[in-house]
Amino acid sequence: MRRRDLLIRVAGLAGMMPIGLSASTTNKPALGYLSVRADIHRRYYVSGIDHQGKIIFDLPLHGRGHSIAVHPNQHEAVVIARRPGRYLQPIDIQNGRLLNPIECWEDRHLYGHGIYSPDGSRFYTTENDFDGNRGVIVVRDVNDNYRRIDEFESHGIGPHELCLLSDQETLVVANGGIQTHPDFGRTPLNLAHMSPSLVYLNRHSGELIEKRKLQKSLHKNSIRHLAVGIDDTVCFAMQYQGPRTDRPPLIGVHRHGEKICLTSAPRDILAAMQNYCGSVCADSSGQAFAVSSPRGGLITFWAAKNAKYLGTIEIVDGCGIAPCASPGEFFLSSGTGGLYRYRISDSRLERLQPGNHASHLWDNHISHLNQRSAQAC
Amino acid sequence: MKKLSLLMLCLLPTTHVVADETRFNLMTVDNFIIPGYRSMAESTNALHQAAEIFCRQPDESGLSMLHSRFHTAMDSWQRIQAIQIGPIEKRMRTFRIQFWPDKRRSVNRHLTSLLDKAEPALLEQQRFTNGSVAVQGFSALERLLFPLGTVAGQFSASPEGDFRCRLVESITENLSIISSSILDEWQTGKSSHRQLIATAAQGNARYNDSSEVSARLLNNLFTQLERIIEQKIRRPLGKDEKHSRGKRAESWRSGRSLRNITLNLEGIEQLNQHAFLSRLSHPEITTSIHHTMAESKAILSKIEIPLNGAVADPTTRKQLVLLAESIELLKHQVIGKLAAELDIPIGFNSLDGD
Repeated sequence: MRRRDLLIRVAGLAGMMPIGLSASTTNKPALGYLSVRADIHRRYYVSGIDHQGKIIFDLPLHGRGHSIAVHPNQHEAVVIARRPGRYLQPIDIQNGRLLNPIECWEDRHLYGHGIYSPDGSRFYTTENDFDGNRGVIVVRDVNDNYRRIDEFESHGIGPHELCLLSDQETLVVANGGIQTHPDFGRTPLNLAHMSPSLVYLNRHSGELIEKRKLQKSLHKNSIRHLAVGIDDTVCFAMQYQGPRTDRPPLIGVHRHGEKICLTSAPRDILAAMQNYCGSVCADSSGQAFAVSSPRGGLITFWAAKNAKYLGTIEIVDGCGIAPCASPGEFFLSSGTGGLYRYRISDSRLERLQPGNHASHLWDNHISHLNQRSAQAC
Repeated sequence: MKKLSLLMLCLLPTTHVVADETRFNLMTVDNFIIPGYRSMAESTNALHQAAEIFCRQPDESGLSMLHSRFHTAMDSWQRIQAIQIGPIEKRMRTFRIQFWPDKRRSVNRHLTSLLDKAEPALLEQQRFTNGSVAVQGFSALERLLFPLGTVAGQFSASPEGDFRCRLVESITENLSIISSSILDEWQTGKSSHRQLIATAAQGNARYNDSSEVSARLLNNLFTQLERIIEQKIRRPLGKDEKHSRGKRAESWRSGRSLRNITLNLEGIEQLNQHAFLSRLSHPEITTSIHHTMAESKAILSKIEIPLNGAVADPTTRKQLVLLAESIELLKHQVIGKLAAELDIPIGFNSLDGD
């Protein structure tokens, strides 16, 4: 067992698995998840992780990544640079090696999220047209080395995460509302005039289908992350830019054409979330959502059907969340090196020991390789 | 409701750790941060006065006084540059004070446009502050006071010379106002930032607890070390001589790129001492950090030509590479050992998420 793991690890790292072994189904490493991370010296990597939290490969990145999009039907994934980064780093996840990186236009930068089309031929990213002060969705041709082929408006400032609805045509985009410009690093430039929105677009034409905003008093509540659950229920998680003593709702659910429903968490739980959510995902059935609040060190769970609060677990600096194959189960990561599995039904939190590497500072997002879930989360 | 929660907090046992944390945070504020901004407020005020004197009669002696006060003011800024918490976070003050790095040549672009327009109304304090951030601070001032050709003639009695001088006055006044506002907001009144740090343990509008203050300060320290290594040294250095870019060095026009780094290291040393090393029971970590700091300074003092020239010279390039490595070691000691020893949560996602 150990020897096999070692073999796989070494082969994966060097990217030179002997041909006879490479595609052999019996020995195939059970890669389950992908995440970006830093080490304690703040060097950045993308790591492949198995279902038990073992690291299968670890590849160095040029700058900090944010999330990873998984190709729906090939052994490929793309690391998207954290804002205001400009690289897309495709990886061969079967052999654990980096492919040719892609840079976005000089006058654009990425926001850290991207998504493949269901057939894997297109790749969509949220980007900043910073001189034009507008958010855009850039379309790339995956089969032509991610060549940029189109761009359309995100109909808001600061688009962040984007997901696809079940019709496979409609993109839902979180426009965070915060204006930034690379000249000023990550400094927000428009806090007084923020106007975050949830936007539905046709992925072919860019046509605006629906745009939803929060009530005016919540205009500093930046809508950042999204997940799509059952019946195309969109769960969005926010980061509030107003005073720390305010207690705005931080999570909302929405169905296309309906009104936004903001969730109500128990008072102490809402306070503990410290006005900040880092990530959201749906479980494999789409019935439940998990939302991480790394500042408060907790993860909350919500029912897709009625936006009801289901419970909380505490994980210090816990941020990355992804669905497991079984419904109601989540794979979780923390910035302090922890990997966990959690089951809602019996509140069982399992710390995955092999993944307990203190030097592995798991970054914002973790992706599941199961394509449907990966698309939804 | 508020009263109730305050009462509840009073009933909670205050551990020594919390009290200590607040004490060390306040020591840092009182012994490093506030004195640092006080010296900046004084030196930028003196700079503004020198600008007024010079503009009344632009001559060589006035200019040399202006140059010398530019350096003193820049010295005080570079010493405190690491601090990125508190009033400096407001209204883009960091960028107003010094717009750098300027990857898209914004300073030149906006400065040229302002000089071309030469409308005195644009320099009125309110309008100037609301205008382009790129022309409001040291970077623009340096371009005006240390141009590549001769200086004195540029301020001669002519409409252009006069406007140029008024601009110098506006920038220096702006620097002086920002610096004294920062100082004031740190120390004056019930809602001062010092007060926010003093009451952080109970949670307030700015901080959830006192360890958040320590974590932010450690993050500031770390970020400043990274800035020196990546932006101030490696970016102008390039991968080899052919790719070196001297003009990417900070403050190359006024020939003080290396002096900035020396002052940055002094600031880091003081910040580190007050905030962290003074509460450390482990002498080995302190010794190793002191040792690396001394080594970095020693390497720095041996580089005898300005940074923008040094990046293109094979001998000095080697010294710069060594300098970056030495500061990198310092960074690893701070982040790897100090943070762990003091149990300061450098929350990766909680402090620096997106």
